[in-house]
Amino acid sequence: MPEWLSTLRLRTRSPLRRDQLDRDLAEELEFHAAMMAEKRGLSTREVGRAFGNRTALKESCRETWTFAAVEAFFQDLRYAWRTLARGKAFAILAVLLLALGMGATTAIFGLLDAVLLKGLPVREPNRLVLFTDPAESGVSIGADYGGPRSLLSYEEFITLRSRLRSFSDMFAVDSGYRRLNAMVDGSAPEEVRFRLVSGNYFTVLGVPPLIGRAFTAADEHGPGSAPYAVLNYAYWRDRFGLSADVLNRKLQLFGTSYQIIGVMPPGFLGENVGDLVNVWLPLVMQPQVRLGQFWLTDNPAKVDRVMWLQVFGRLRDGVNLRQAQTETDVVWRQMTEASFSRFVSSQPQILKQALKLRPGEQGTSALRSQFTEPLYVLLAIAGVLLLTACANIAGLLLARAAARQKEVAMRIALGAGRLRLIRQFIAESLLVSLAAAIAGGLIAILAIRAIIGLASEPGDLISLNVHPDWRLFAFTSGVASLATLIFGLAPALMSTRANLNQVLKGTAANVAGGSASAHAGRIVVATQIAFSTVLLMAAGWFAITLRNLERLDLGYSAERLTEIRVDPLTARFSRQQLATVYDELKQRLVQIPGVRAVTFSKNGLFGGSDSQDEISVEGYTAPSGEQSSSRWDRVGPSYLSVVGIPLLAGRDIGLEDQAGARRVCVINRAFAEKFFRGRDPIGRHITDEYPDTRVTLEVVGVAGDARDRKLREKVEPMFYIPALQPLVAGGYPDAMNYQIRTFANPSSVIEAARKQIAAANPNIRVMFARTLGELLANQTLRDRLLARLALVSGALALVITCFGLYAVLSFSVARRTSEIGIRLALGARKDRIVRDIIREALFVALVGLGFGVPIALAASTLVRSRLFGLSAADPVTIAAVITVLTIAAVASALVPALRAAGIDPIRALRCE
Amino acid sequence: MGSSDARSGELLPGTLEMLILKALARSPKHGYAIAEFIHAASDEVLRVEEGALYPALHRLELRGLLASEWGTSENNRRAKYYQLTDSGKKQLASEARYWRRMLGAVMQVIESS
Repeated sequence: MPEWLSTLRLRTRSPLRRDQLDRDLAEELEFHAAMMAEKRGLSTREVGRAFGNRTALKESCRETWTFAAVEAFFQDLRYAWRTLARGKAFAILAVLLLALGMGATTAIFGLLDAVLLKGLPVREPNRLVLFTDPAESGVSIGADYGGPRSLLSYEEFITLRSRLRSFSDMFAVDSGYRRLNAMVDGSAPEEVRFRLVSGNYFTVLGVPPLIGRAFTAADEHGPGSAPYAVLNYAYWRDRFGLSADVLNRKLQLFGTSYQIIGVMPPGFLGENVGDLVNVWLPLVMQPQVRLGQFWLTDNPAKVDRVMWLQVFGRLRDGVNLRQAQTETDVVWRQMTEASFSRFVSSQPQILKQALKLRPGEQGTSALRSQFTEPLYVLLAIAGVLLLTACANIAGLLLARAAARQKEVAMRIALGAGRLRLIRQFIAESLLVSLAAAIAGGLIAILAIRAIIGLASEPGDLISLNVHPDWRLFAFTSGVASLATLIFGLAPALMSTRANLNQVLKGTAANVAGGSASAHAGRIVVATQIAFSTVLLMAAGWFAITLRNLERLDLGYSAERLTEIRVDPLTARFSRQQLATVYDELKQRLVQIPGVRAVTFSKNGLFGGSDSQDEISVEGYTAPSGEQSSSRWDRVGPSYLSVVGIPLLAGRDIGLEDQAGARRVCVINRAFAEKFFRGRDPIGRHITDEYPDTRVTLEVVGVAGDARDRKLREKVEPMFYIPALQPLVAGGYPDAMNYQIRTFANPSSVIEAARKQIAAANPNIRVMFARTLGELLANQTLRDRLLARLALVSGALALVITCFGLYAVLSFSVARRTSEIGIRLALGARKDRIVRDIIREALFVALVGLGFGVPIALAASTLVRSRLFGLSAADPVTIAAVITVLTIAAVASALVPALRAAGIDPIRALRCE
Repeated sequence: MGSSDARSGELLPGTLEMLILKALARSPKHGYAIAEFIHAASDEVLRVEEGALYPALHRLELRGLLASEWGTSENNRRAKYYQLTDSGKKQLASEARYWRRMLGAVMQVIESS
């Protein structure tokens, strides 16, 4: 048998028979000792001396026949586990906190990666180019005067695709997704999320279907020509149980039947990051999906374009983005000149619109613009929490090492190898970081779900391909392990170097070493306090911001108000009928028990849509080079009084403002201040300059400023015109928001309202039905997310900092037991002793605050734009944080202080 | 000479394993007998420390140069007997050759004028 093989055989055998080998060795040595005594006539004592340190001898024998390193490591881990288990609170807290820090950092980075950094899971995503604004969604009807276009019309897409040579192919996608009630083979209607995509969508992206087929360019022959549906994998799984039979089934939507032809593979969520799509339909089905609207051609007689598409191109090989942009500029210029030829002379600015090509690798996402900043802020918070956790672990390991000095000295005296002891300390650190890493991984997975839940609007969960970033996880757990290792090792080295005699006797060296680690402990705790200060400051900022936003004066009362958005075109009413339909719905809603009053408006309150036009105002000349523009809305009778917007002058929009009557409007205060500047606006005229709907309106009333779109910005100039007074013949709004003022709980009328609308016509689609409170909550979603997570982090940091301070002070009291005993024996008063300990705590807290507050203020540039109604240097926040930390410091000091005061001088002195 | 006194009984580094193998060349022995054999065979010049002997024995066993077996000693105690394996015998031969050459060379240097 080769030498190495026999070695291996014996070694691998040995761990299993460890006890046997130990016993054999003991017997062998016993025999040797007996022989020495017998043959040489030595006394037991002389035999003992001849043997030297028998523990060391056994240890070195043992090492020869075991995988010493491996075995010792496991032994160390076992020992570490036992010591850690002994101080349960320490172990659990330390591990949990480290895990939280690592888990949160990993989760948030994973989200950041999914939302901001990751490329689409498609073929060569880096060759994709986007023609439109990735953050844009919805439908924009009107004209664009200058600047890069955010969305394109269908005809523009088709023309670009046929003319541009820089791209091997181009595809277009509906920029919004549509939640519609559809039926599966005639089953009960259920909500399905649809997205319309051009026929070549899947082929240009380069993602083949999992089963069946996807659309092809052939599915694009004229409006309504391709009633086919392709399913998302999760929808197939959840709705059809992964059955292949799905390819024989049909979806019904607004009377059109769509054959299901394929299912996409898991992991493919489409080109948009964040939107959940169940079913893809071909773009040419637009008229069947959005009834009463036709968006597939541009009307050359109008300046209006229906802009609703995100457009992507795949660069031809050898063409770069800059070359593609140059070609696009030329083609686009020719296209606009041709299609707007009738308007170029009267509105030359129409040609200012341009196309800006951007890398399309990451697809589109409305989340990106909303969550980039909050996610970075959260990442910073999680990072600080992780640092606090590391500092905490460091402090606790330091204190424990100091406390275990005697034990260590004892073990060295008994023959334990120094290296072995150091390894044991390392094992303890490793065990802490290992446990933390496991718990942290679990936390990361849970935290991702929790944060997505917090960041989503109710009933509309954000859909993301997000995984904890394991590279980052490896990094954070690496950092944490390193930190625990350093802080576990430093005291280990300190302890093992100590003078055994003195440590065991408990004399001078002990006190000196103890004071060094007490000092280190104080520094560590001060660091924790500084980090906690930063987190608490952030919690204060975001909590106050949220409160300010929630208490913001809207200009009307949001209490007892419900808003319902309806789309009557789905019931195939003609445009001329709409005035009657809107009035009938109002009459029905007002009869619901508990309803006080009902009105309606085109854009409504926080309903997500908006209108803005260029205007001219009687007696007002705009500064040269500036266009006057204003927001506007089309509202029903008594809009101001039902919503509760105060009337400052003149009258509200009334029943008399109908088709054929004098054209009127009500302006808001901001409008009056900007355009009338102290002159009485009543009776004066303003003109909406939009070419297709140019009208002149008489101002009949002035309303107070009301917030109906965004909370953070100042109220802009706005005018209200009667919704039932069409701008052109039959030009009534094609969707309407009803505002319902109730006597009691506003959500209680929603069910009845849906029934009434269905009773009027079951095909009228209710696009949403929410209380104003819910709509406002969606406005503060991100602020609430930040406030909650910052508060939780701040509270956690505070708790562990208190724990750390308590540990340091307890250690310091224990170390000075005899000193305090002497002072008490010499007549020191107990309250003096208590005061000294508390003063020590306050000093540490003050040092921490002294660093923490400036750090927080310096870091506040990161969050400045997220704050509302306060500055980062908000004195209330600073004062509150200082108070909280001071109270916490005193509270943590109280128990050790009272313990010190309770020391019995006689016993303390006897201890020495 | 004081200094030579202080060094009496100390083994030359690297020789212990060879001495153990040699001690076992004739017959199996237990640890104590090995130490005694080396002491006696060297005219009581060399003394093997117990602290070094046993780790060395275990090391040699682990390398497959020795085999061990529990037996009964001359005074009827249980004792662990070591004996050379085939590779142990080969190792002894080559070690002995090596030391003979080395020590011969050293002596030659010392005796040279």
